[in-house]
Amino acid sequence: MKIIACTLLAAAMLAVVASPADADRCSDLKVHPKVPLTFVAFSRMNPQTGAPYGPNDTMTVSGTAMPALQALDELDALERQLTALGYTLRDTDEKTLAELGKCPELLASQVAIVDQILHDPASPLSPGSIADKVRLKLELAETLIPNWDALYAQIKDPDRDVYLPPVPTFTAPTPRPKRTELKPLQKERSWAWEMGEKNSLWVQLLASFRIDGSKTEVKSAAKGQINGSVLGLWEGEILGADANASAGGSTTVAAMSLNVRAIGKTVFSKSWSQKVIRDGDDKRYDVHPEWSYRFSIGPIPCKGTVGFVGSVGVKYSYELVPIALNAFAVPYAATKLFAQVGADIGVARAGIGGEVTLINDFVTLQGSFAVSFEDEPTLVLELTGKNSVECLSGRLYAYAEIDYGLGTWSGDFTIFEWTGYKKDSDLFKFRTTWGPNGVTAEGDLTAEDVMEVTADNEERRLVDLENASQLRAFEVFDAVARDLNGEAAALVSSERDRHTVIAQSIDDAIAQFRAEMTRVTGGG
Amino acid sequence: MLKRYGAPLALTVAVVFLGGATLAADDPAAREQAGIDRLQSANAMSVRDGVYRQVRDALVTGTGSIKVKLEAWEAATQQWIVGWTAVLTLADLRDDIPYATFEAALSTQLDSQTARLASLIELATQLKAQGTEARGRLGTVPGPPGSSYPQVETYYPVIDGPGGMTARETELAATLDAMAMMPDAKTATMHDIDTRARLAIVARLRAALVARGRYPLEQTIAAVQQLLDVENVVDPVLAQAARLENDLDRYALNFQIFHLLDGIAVGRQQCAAGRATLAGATGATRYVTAARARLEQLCTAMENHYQSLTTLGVGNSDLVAAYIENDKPALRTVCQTAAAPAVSCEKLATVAALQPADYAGMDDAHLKFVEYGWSDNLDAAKRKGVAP
Repeated sequence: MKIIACTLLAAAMLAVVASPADADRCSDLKVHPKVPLTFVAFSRMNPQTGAPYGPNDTMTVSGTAMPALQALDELDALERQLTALGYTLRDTDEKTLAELGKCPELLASQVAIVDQILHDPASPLSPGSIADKVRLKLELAETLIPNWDALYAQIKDPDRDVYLPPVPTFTAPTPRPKRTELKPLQKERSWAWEMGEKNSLWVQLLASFRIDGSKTEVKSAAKGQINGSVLGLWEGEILGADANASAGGSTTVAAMSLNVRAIGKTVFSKSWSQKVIRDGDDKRYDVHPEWSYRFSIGPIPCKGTVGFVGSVGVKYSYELVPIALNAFAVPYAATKLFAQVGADIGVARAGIGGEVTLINDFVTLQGSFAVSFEDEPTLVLELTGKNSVECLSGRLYAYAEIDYGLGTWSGDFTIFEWTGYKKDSDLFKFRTTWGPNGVTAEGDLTAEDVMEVTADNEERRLVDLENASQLRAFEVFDAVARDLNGEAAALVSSERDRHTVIAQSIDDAIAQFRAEMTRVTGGG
Repeated sequence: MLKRYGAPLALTVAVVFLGGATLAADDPAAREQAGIDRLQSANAMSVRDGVYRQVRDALVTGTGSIKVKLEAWEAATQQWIVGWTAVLTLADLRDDIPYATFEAALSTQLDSQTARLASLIELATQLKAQGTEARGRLGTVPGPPGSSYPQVETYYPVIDGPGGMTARETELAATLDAMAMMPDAKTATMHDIDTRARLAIVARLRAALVARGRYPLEQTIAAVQQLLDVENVVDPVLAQAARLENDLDRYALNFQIFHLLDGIAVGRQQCAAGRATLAGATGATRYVTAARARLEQLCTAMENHYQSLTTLGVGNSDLVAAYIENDKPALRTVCQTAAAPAVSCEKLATVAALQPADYAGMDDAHLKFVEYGWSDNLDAAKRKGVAP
């Protein structure tokens, strides 16, 4: 089988050698025919089994499986062509069946040309020319590479150039301007007011509003409280209202809580937590505490009642969006104190009474905080508080009621009435802005506010000075560095060198001229 | 009864305390001083750089720079040496020419050599003066080290580093010394050459006469020696008078009345002194006679320039105003359009702003001050030349 495979390969090579395409490059194919041989077909017996190849038997030729009979037929066909030319696949010697006829001649002529070139002394490829080139290169190398003695002799020659890489040029560092950081704002305003004596009638108003704001979050806390005391019998909180809100910070959810107390008891409490809060309402609660006691004057039963009536509550409106707050809260109370003492003899009742407006009060607390962004964030905070109060006005009266059988008569008579205290006033008004252009504060300023503004303005002035001086220093030194590394500066030394050489040549010319004149004049 | 409360006291105290801690950490007074020091350092460096650039410009920039003048001096020196070679060649008597022709050629060439030497010496003097002025403007070299400039430590390499300001100033001062002073240092040698050359002329002439016998030996030698002696006296007189006549001509044309008045006084003195000098000159009669005629011609021309302006019937204030008005375009050339304007431009601009009424109100002393102020500064600016 191996023999067959090699034979097929040899046949394929012969076909390639004889391809017309290659023959065109040099000349026609030249064939060497011999005396024809007798064709003998290859055996169809399988050497491994000793039996003839069947139609389904295969053999592997050059790694490719193919039907054995087909392969043997193709082998026989090739053998038939070769034997006609006097060759056979069975011959193991190497034979030249055909060759390209003109190539040897062409090659021979090229050899002659090359030989001529190589032996022509004027040819660039002649040994003499090549040797000359090599010699020139060697001589050039010798001139460029000084020997050790020459180098040593020039060691102390100040005019000998010593190569140094260019000096790195200085690049002025660009200054980074400072920025005035936007500090968090913390502002609180409180207000307190009281009137009367606790062992008779006494009212107290407390209000505060606080906002903590920064460029990322805002918190606010508003409080309103009305306390009172009645004849030393009762003292306590008439109204209390707290509202807390926050937005921004680490969470994107705004939160708010509202808590309202009346006569010491919580009457309303609610919390919100959502992205944006917009809410407002009027929470109103009626109050009517009273205290009664009975007694007799002889046979006549008597009764006394002390108490007050009124309503308390809070109006509020909040708008909370991220980094912005707009809110107002109006805790209010309208309370009237009364006291009556009466006698009752069955058909008639009479007595005296008194009414005192304990307090009618509305505290309006309003605040806003916002961060506006243009080039840089600006914080704007505003707090205002107003109060409208009326208290301790009242009257003293007598009343009577008689059953006269057919009906009842009743009436009262004001014995005395008086005005109390009434005032509308601004509690506080404050506005501040913190931005890139500085801090402003207006309204009711505390010492702390003034200090903050002064300190901030001072800081900004310093930062401006530092930035301006840094910039100025950069501009100056950068320009200087560029100039010193520029062509004009380099011209100074190059011109000095050039004119030193010229001056030397002038000196030489003068010396030569002087020597000539000395020679002519005979010295002296 | 009515009370208003600010923030709780505790909060206020806390804020004040925190503020105090911050103040201690970066003292505002120290920061402010640092900023001021930085600005002052930048300004001082700017001034120093400005001085360096001015002096460097005086050295290498512009048509009136030391560099350009030195190149002119070098070229003229070469011509001067070549000129002496030509004179010596003439003394070899290789050309067969009559003695009168020889004497005329020798006289012309000697005049040229004298004029060249005078020009070289004047140029050398200008260069020395310009270099001295520039060197004085540069001040002490090297300037202050980087450590003298507080709050700009980052930029110290610009001052002290390789190729920094200190190195450049030192280099500039050395170059100024080398370039501006070099011509003046050779002046003595040139005078020596001038003297030796005249001796050499006679020596070579004698040798040539002995060899060729073209002219009578002793008579020729004596005549040439007389010519050399007289030329040495006459040429400076004529050169000085010619220069002044040229100046007076320019003054008259420019309406520079006070320059003209001052110039004619000097010219009359020079003419009188020149006449006396030439009257005492003996020998080389033809040469001396021609020189006297030339001097008279120059002195007459000086008087004519003087008369041409003073007989116009125009007042001095109008003449000064006309002079400055005519010269104003130069202000634009040398100051406004120049890349590196001359330092005197502000003074020129001040004078240029004067109105006719201003001149009319001035007496002669003030008018003279204005005329000289304008011309001196404009001349200085022109000397600097227009930057390329």
